[in-house]
Amino acid sequence: MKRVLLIAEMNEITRSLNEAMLPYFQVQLCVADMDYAGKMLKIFEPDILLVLFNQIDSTGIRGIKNILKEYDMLQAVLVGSQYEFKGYGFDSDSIHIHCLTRPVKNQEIIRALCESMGISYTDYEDKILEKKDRRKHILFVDDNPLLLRSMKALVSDKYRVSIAVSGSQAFEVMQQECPDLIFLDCEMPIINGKMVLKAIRANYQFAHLPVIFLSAVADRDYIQELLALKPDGYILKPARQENILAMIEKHLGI
Amino acid sequence: MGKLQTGCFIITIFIMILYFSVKRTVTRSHKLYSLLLIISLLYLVFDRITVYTVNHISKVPAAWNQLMHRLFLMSLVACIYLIYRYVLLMIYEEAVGENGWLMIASVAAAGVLPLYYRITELGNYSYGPAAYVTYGSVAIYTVMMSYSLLCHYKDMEKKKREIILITVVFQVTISVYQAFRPLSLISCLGITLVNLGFFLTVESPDIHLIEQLKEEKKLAEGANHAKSAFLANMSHEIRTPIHAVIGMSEMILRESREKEILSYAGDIYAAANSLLGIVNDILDFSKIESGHMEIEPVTYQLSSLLHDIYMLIGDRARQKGLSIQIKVNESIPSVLYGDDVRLKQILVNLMTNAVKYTEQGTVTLNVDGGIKGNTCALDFQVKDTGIGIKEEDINKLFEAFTRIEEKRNRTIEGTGLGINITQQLLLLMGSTLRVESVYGKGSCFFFTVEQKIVSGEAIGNLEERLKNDKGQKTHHAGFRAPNVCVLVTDDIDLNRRVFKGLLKQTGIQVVEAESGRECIRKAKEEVYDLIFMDNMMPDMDGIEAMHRLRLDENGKNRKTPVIMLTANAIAGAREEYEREGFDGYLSKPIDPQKLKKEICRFISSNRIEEVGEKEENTCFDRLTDLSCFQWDYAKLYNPEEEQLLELLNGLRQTLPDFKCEWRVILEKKDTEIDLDELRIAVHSLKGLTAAAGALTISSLSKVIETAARDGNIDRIKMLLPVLLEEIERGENDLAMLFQETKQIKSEDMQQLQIMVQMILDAMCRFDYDEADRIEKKLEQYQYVKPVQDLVLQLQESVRDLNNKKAVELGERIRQMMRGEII
Repeated sequence: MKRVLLIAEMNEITRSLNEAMLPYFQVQLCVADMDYAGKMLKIFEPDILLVLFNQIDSTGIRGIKNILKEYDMLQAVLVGSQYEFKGYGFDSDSIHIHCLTRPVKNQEIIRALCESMGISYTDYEDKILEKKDRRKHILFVDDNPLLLRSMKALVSDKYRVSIAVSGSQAFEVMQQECPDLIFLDCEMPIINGKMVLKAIRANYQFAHLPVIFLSAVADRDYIQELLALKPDGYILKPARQENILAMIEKHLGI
Repeated sequence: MGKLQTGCFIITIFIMILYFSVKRTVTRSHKLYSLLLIISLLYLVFDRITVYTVNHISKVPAAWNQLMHRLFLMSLVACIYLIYRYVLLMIYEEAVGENGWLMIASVAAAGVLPLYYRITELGNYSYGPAAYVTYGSVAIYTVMMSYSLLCHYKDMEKKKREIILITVVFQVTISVYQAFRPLSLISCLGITLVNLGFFLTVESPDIHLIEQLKEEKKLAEGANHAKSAFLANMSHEIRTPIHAVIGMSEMILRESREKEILSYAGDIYAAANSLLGIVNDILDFSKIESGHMEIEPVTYQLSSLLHDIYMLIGDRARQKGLSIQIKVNESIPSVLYGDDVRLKQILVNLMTNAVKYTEQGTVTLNVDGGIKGNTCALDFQVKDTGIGIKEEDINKLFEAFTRIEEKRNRTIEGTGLGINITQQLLLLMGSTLRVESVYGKGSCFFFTVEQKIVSGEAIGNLEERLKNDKGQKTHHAGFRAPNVCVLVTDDIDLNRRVFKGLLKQTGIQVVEAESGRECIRKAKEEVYDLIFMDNMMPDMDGIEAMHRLRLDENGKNRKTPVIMLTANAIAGAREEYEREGFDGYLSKPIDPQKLKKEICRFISSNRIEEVGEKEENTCFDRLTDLSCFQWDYAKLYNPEEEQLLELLNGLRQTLPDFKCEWRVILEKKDTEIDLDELRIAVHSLKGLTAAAGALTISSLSKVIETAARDGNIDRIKMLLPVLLEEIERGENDLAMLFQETKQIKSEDMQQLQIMVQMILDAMCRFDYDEADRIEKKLEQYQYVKPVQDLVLQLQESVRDLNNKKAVELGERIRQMMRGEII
């Protein structure tokens, strides 16, 4: 996903634009203060800058001009009036600045952003929307953050991955966006894997989701106990990439 | 008449059938009891017969009567004797109290001594010495067994003793009654009841159970021992691959430049070391369990032991923000005789625990000692201001595999074996571990060991020495020996590669041999400076290979030092190798420092160049390359970064003054120049700039100082402009240096605030990729200490995916910054 830094005053127009852009880009809002915007640029590292001149005062606009001068390799899309463009001397011929005159629809802005970044809008739209639907969402739950990260890395080429470090966090993630498959560690403190599984099955929203147990204990009796809870699968830790991928493919029918 | 006797006889037959129909293991009690049953039966037969014969004394021939009666008496004595023996067996669990002579004598007496009969209206009964001796011995044995029973009643097993007691009581009662009413003839009843009572002790299910349990316990212990022996021998198998992982990851850390790869390798290294720690714990534990752990005393220096501990624990403690103190009684002798390896293991374990379970404050090690003749009693005390231990949990501490307050302490790593192993080791050393703790305030672990004194010289002030050592990091084997050639022999390719990797940076040439034979072959061709030999190899092992090298009379490497490399951590291995003739010994995984020491032992020092560490001292990394300043030189005079920066700051402020003054001098006429003033000023500049590493300025100042002293004004006028130019360059350099650091300071705060907020936002929507990305950016900045600490903790909470903690830290950073602004 492309990253867009949106410099604008906080108002209705900005909010609506932000909403419209959310499915397409990763958007970061920023106030029109030169210092602040400069820092934001350094931290957020956007692929493109989007500025709404609406309601920004003269100091703000001058500040933006300076920033554009400083970061002259960065693409920018400016939305304002002809008056503002001419008045402050924004060079609309420059290859990296694209000026749009108000009023302009949100979709047009998005299109302009894509053009400036050299992406075909239609392709991008398809890809984004496609990706959103096609790529399955896998959730890993384990108390060891290092392990979570490594499992995520193993799988994130093909799937969208969320990670959670405890049962309660897992539920928060699931509420936000329901996963298609859950890998659940059995040995976790306070609320262990078995309890989480029971909670998932008890919740009508998530009861149908396939849940795979991950366990480091290879003791036969222990495994029997776990299998009695009827998970959809079982993998021994340390889990190999082939095993995880195979398990996912088995349950998501790819 | 003889109904009672007949009845008893039948009952006894019944008991016998029950008893003998079951297959029994032949034990002492079985033998005794079987004998008793048989003799009792005989006795009852004779009893029945004599009842008849004595009461029909006229009809029966006298000889027959006498015979029967004597047999009756003899069997009575035998029965009583057997009963006595059986009771004692029950009491003592082993064959005691023979006292058989009395029985034999009585039996003999009964057979030989005269026996008479008295005929009365009520019935006939016997008397005479035979009878009296018999009854006498019955009484004696009865008294003896009663006495023993009462004495040891408490010590006996509950079930058994109750039965025996009741039986003996009945026996005594009946005997007494019989004694006073000789015509009652109920002694047979006594014998039968005794048999019945004993039958219960043999047959009692509880007693059976106890026997069974004893058997099973023996089996279980046997299995446990077998397991421990197996583990001890597995030590080699387990350590070899771990050695490879640690070695390879060290190589990556040394050679790679890529940040990502270094971070992965760092994780691997840490995990492998942690694994090695756990494996060592388990192996030690099983070694102790199977009785193979030994204390191996050697001569050692107490100061170097404490120094090592300080180095090991110090870093970890400082990372957590804790302070470490080691207080040593100065008069303790410096060189002692004892097992320093185990002592270090114990202290490291206790102090690591202290650090693990303390969130803030101090961890202190107190070492005190008292000299008694030629031994010194060392008192060690490890105190901490940590979370403490509850009274009731203190016993759990010593148990293996159990950890206290598991829920709370889940995040703290550990096997739960540490204290158990420590205590076992201390017990082997003749000491014990004591604990005092206040829950929530802190704990104190202490113990005392006695060590023989080798050198009475006092240890002196250790704290000073430790403080001065603080800045040095000893991670890399910093030396080069490019024209040294060594031969390493190991059948496992991986091990040879690891070994080569360890020595790569030293430039030492390493030749490989993959078997004992190849080693010998190569040794015939070339002379090597050192030979490293693994022991566990197929075909020819290390020991044999070494012997062959030594025996080869014309061999080129006959006198070459041979060092053993082994993963064998079994006790006594070192001595064995030394006896075999090895010159040195290294255990795997190989510690680079130890390897260096061994090499330096055998290679003459003129072939070794010490190399300073690469500039990895993170303290000084803020000093960028400036043209006027030589930082190496400056570090010599200013080992602390703070100190150097202060000096540079001071210099920055005074340099302009020098410049101004001397520009003026250049304008002046020769006669107006105050040479003394100039000389003094230049002299002080020389000193300042030398300490700061501005060598060109310093040298120029020196020349001008000499010129001023000699009154050489021409020279002064020629050199001053050059000096002024240099000073100006120095000023610019310093301006750049301080501007950078200043810039970092002021810009920081707002940027930090933005980054922190973005991290928190990302974490709250579970976008950990974004949170990671910004967390990495935080690495590029340095902040003032209190803020930096919080930032480091925030980074850690991001890595741990701990949302709650991140939010807390974010709030604290915000508060701190608000405080600053005000």
